[in-house]
Amino acid sequence: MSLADVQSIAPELILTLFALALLFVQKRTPQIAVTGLLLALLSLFFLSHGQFFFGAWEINAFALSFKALFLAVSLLVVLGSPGTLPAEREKEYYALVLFATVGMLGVAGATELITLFVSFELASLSTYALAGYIKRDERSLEAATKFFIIGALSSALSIYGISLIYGATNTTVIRDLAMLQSPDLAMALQTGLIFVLAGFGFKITLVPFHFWAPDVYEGAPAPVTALLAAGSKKMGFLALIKIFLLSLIALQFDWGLLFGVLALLTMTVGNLLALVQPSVKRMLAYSSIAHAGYILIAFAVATEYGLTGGLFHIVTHAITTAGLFLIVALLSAKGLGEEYASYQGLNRRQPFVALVLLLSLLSLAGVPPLPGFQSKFALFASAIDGGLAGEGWLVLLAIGGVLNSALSLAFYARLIKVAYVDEPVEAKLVGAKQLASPLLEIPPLLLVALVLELIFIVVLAFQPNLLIEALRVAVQAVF
Amino acid sequence: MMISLTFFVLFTAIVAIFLARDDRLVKSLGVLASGVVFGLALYMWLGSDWRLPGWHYLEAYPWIPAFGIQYKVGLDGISMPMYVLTTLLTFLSCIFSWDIKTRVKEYFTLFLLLEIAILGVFVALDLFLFYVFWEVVLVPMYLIINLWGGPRKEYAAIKFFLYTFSASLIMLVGIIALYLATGAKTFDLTELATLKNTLAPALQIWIFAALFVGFVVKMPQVPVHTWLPDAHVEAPTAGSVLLAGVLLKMGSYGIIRVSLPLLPAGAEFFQPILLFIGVLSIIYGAFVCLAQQDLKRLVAYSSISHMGAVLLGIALGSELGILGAVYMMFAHGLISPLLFMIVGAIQHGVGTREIRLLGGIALKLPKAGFIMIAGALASAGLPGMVQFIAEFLIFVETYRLLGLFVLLPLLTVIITAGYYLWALRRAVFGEVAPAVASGHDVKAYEFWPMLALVVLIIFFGIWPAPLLSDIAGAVQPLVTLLGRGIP
Amino acid sequence: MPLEAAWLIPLLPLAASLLITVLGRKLPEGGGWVAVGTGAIVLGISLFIAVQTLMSEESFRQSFTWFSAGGFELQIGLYLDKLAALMLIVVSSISFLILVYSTAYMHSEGPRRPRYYAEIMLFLSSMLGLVLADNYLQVYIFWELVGLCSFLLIGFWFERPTAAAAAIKAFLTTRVGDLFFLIGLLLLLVHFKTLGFEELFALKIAPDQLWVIALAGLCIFGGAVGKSAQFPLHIWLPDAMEGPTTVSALIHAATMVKAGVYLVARSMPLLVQAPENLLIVATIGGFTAFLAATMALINNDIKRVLAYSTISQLGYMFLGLGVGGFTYAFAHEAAGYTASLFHLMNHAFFKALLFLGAGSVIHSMHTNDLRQMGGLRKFMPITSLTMLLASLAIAGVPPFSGFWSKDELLAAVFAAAEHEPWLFVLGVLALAVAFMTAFYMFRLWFLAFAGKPRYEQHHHRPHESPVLMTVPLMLLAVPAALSGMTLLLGFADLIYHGKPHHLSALEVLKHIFTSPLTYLSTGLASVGIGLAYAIYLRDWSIVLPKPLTQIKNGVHKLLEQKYYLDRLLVEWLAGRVTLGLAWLVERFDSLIVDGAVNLAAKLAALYGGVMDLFDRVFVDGVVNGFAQLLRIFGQSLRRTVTGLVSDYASWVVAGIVILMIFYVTRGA
Repeated sequence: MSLADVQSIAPELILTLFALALLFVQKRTPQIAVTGLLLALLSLFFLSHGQFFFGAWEINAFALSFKALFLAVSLLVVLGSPGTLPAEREKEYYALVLFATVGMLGVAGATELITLFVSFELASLSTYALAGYIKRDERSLEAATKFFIIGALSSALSIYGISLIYGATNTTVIRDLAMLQSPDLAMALQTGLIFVLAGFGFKITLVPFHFWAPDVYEGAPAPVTALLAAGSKKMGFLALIKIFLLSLIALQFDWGLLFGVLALLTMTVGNLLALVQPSVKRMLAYSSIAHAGYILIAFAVATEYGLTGGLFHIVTHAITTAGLFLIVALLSAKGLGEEYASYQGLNRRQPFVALVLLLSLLSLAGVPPLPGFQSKFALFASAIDGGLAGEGWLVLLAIGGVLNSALSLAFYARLIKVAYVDEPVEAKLVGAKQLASPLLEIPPLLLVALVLELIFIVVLAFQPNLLIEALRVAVQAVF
Repeated sequence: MMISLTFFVLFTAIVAIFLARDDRLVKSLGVLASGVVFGLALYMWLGSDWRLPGWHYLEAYPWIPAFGIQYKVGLDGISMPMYVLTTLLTFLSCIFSWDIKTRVKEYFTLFLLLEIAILGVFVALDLFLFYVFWEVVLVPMYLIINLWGGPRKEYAAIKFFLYTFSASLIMLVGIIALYLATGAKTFDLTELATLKNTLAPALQIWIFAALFVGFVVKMPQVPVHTWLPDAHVEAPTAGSVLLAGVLLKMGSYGIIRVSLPLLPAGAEFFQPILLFIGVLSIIYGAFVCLAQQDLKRLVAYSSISHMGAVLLGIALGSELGILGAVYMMFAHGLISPLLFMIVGAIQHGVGTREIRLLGGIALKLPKAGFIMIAGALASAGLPGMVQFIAEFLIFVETYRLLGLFVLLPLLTVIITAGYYLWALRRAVFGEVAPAVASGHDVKAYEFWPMLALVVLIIFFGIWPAPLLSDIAGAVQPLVTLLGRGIP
Repeated sequence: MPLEAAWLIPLLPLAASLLITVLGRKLPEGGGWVAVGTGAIVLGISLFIAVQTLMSEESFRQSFTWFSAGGFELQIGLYLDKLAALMLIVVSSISFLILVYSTAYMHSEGPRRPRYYAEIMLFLSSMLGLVLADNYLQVYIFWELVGLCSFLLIGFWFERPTAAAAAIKAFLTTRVGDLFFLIGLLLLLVHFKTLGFEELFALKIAPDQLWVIALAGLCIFGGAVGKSAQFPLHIWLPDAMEGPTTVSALIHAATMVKAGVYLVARSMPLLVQAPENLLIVATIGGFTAFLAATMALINNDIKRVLAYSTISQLGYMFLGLGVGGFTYAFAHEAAGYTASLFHLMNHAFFKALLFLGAGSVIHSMHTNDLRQMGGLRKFMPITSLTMLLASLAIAGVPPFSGFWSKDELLAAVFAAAEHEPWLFVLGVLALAVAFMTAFYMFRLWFLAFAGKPRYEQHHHRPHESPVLMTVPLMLLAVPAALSGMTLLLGFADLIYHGKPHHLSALEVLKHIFTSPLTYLSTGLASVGIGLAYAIYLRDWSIVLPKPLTQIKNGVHKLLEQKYYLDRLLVEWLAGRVTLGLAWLVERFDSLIVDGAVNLAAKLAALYGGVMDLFDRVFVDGVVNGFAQLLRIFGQSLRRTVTGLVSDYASWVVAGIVILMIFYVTRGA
């Protein structure tokens, strides 16, 4: 355990310390959590690359990019929480958020299965607790229990899968999973991988394993849902990328077709169900499932170009969805409810929030020049590139993706229409205090979060080059 | 530098409008900005000799080098008329909508945004930038129809948005394929044009088809035209002016700028299909007009018929054909806004567009009557007005390449005159209808833009030489590039 | 004065028209005197230019490039030759007189006068531009502008539905003719790369391209048929009488309808190369003359009688041109051509006079119906006398102008009959027309001016028209009576096709008075006048034997219905068939194409019902059935979301099982 090893886990350490400190402090907890996250973000730049803890922990451009994403997401969540959540037991809330973040950072750094699984579980457990944060609201409790049961089943599956893999390859280091002990063990390795796919697939709401997501996303408090959709889902992708893309390319398993089918299934189911949802929150839940489907295209293409597209979409989707769920949090906290009708005349009521809503929805729908379009463009381009290079069906996957985003426009445009065209409904009382002024006032920290998201969208719209270069470097480091 | 200056002026105007408090200030800012931009456009048109080949006012800055995408803009003989036309029409529609009362700030912001997007389409020389502007046009147009539209505005707006959005997504697949297939990983139009022979003809045909879907839905041509009448009938007047004036031309411009130079084998293969669709739209549009009861719907269907003539000109593929097509785009871009403005003014003054309820406008509202007759005759292709020159060129070329097949589009010239005069008889001549009796004539801010258009329509009808030679300057290299010059 | 001044001739009226449109009400007489002034200046310049051109041997041409596109050069220019000079004299003189006349005639129109004078000036400038043009495209452009002015002027009182309908009928019918003209234009431009007269006429046509010239010639004649109201496109002229009488006089008698004759005369060098074309021209001309004359026999509207008479006389001119061209092909001299243009000049003068006379009658009686007139001679001496003169001229009674030109025409027709027997039939038709013309003109005169007054005396006080109207009548009466003399002064040397054959005045007189034809035609004319006198003044119906009256009534009925042509062409062809087709297409459009969107919606709803989905329909502005279909799939998927954790767990396990099967089958 040399000094270098300690340095390598600096961000994780900082966050853990701040989380523990939070448990004792009485007031101004959100500000402390924010400083903690900022410090961690800062420390990222001082980490030296290389392998630590006897090869179990690695710092490279790829890991750093994901760590930066996770910290950014939890920063948004922490900024968005104070104004929108009941104040009692705030301390545990922020501590849990920080612990979840530590878990995600752990997954980013892990190079071998066990460390990966432990950090994965740390993040999941904290999110189970967070899901049930509002004790009085039985929907939140129901969400938490469901989340926990399905989560437990999935982690059991994944640990069983890992044991099978270990049996077949006699190692847990992801990089050399490909060295089979002997050919007849290939079957064991494959079953192990399927179980791991099922285990982690649950987290990224892959189609057969996605059922928990809508109920949990709707039940949990909106900032927590933001963390789930933007944070833990991406952690699931990170784990799958490490296992399926980085290590198993050598094994020549024909996973492409499987991922292609799963991708098409996930995005179509997600979009179709989002089409018929009465509540905005549930619609966004299904839309994030659909976006998981788009990201899966990268797995089907399995080329460096595809992975860059995938990463790009992971980043743009994370930030945009986080922002959207924070807006949902704001409106439900102000007693306006989560139905489409509650968004009527948002433009007259709060023009800035309406602008962020408009830009985020258009970005998710893939309307140029917003970042969502550019990432989808890169994804579909890689699919077509793969298709032209040989596997023709990839072009069909791209066309499927294109038509799905056209379909997704229907429910996004519906929300835009409601927000911009309809007149605000005055006497909209959902068991909350009468709205003093028609103009909605925004808690300061939430405003900062929305401004950050707006800056991200606008800057990327005009200069996406910054992010793309960083991602290309990250992918080269690993591929 | 000039094009970026134009965009800069428009952006600052939008910000200024966003900050401005009182409505009058917003309106004058809108008119001022569009006026300055129109002045700049005129200066650019007169300031450069368009007969010289190559791009004028060229600017190129890297935007996303990773994917070979750059902000490359420039003008040539083909895009310049459309560029000037867009600035003119926005300027006139800003003046025309001087009496708008609801949500004035959003109104002018959306119009200036729309202008940026449309200008972007006509100046973009990078395929990706072209596609970005192509999509961005939809958002302001959707909101304009939705916020200030007529009774069935939601249905019309969402139909317009989804129809064109899905078609342009298919176009996106075509663009990506084009980008990847050449292997040069670049979106630069001029570079792609030089690489066109590396593409296998079968692939060219497939990509041409994908691009054509996006372009034909935008023009629109039969059978994908049903969104246009709804969109026009429900859109506010100024919205219809821009929708008919320049939005429809983006489709045909796309074919000339992207499909012809980059996919000659595809163009060769699809020529009969394009010809068929063009002529079908001319005849189909004209016949349906005969049975229309609503003036605005009549003008919308007549736009489909006239855009059919543009497609016919392009499908001929020869120099005179494309020259006629571009001049027709410019002509229709002057005449259909005039018709939409006068129909809007009549509805504003009289309260209805139903031909049955109108009558005796020429007697009771002389100014409106005069403009209505001038617009109808211009659109019927009367010599001495701009559209006759364009139609004459296209018909000459159709005869030269297709022989007596030209009779089909020629016959529709009479039907066009028929449905316009029939409408005039019912609406403008005859006894004064009760609705018209209580109506008021065209107001000053409505009359002057329309008069300006009438003067332009006659000027370019009498003296087309300068504009035609400018356009020819860009069409000749395009046609020789296509390898099918004048036999 | 240099010939370049000819440019002023079309430009001055255009400027006047713009001036009147802009200043309008502020001008005296609503712009009337400005119009008359411009008319006078144009008359002066035209006469001067025409005389210079007629004197000089070669023609004057000046043109510059209008625009060049795709290898074609299209010009705008001036072409002054003898034919153009003739037209210049005719158009400018008559228009000046009619302008003076209309200052009085239109005085009662008040605020609408500026629009009238602006449109008349625009018409004048386009007509003069047409006559001076040096290429076919310029002719075509002014051709349509002239059509536009006639549309605007016929529909001058547009609040009257009949006037508006007549205006549109006129515009559309002439537009059909213009379509043929345009096709002819395309043929020439594409095959010979030019539209200039001199270039085209100088071309040596290769045998294989002869069909182009033949077809183009025929199409150009098609345009002339439209504009000069020849069969079958003649239906619009009688209705065009809805416009003010001055408009009928200027446009629908003297100038515009002559444009067709001018065009065919101008294109003679092209037509001559395909002699059978000329036979067609002659036949249509002859047949129209006969047809229109019969229709004029029984009409009771004074203006419609004159309209049919105009169509008939125009038929004469086309007959003359056709015959002249035809003989040129054999004998290289075109007597018919000269006779036809001579008749054009004469007819312009006396027909304008007839219309203006009718105008003054209508002005005082406020009705067109001949049955409500009678005995106006006593109250309107000048009008009746001038109209008598004109009637004598048109009937072809020597020594008035009609006699000379009609006689020349008949001589040419029968001379050509030797080469082509069919022309003999046309000759007989022409003679019949001569008889009928005399009959209906004097029927009109007797009904209007002679006999007992058939109107309530106390109700109408007929009065002679003001001096501003009678002076033009008198001025027009002079050429109407004497223009025939120009034949003796060598009209034939000036206007000819091929080479002029000079005949001294004496030879002309000898030639005319020795041929039996002259006596036959004059005899027929006098019989016609006598018959009209008998039937309409002395009411000697006993003169006609019984069966003849039955035939007369039968013929009467047939003529009444204008051979049912109107109903056939207008109601059936233009009305039911096209509008029916349009209705069909519109139904097709809203039912099939736009309907496809709603059709899919019905299907989806049915599918929904079958699946007995219970939940609310969430269609809130979703565009079409396809979208609904997706919604239905979404609903069925939604039912799988039960909310029970146990279900979710079973799905997870099911997922793994499926993946395993997937691998077992593929892996092995």
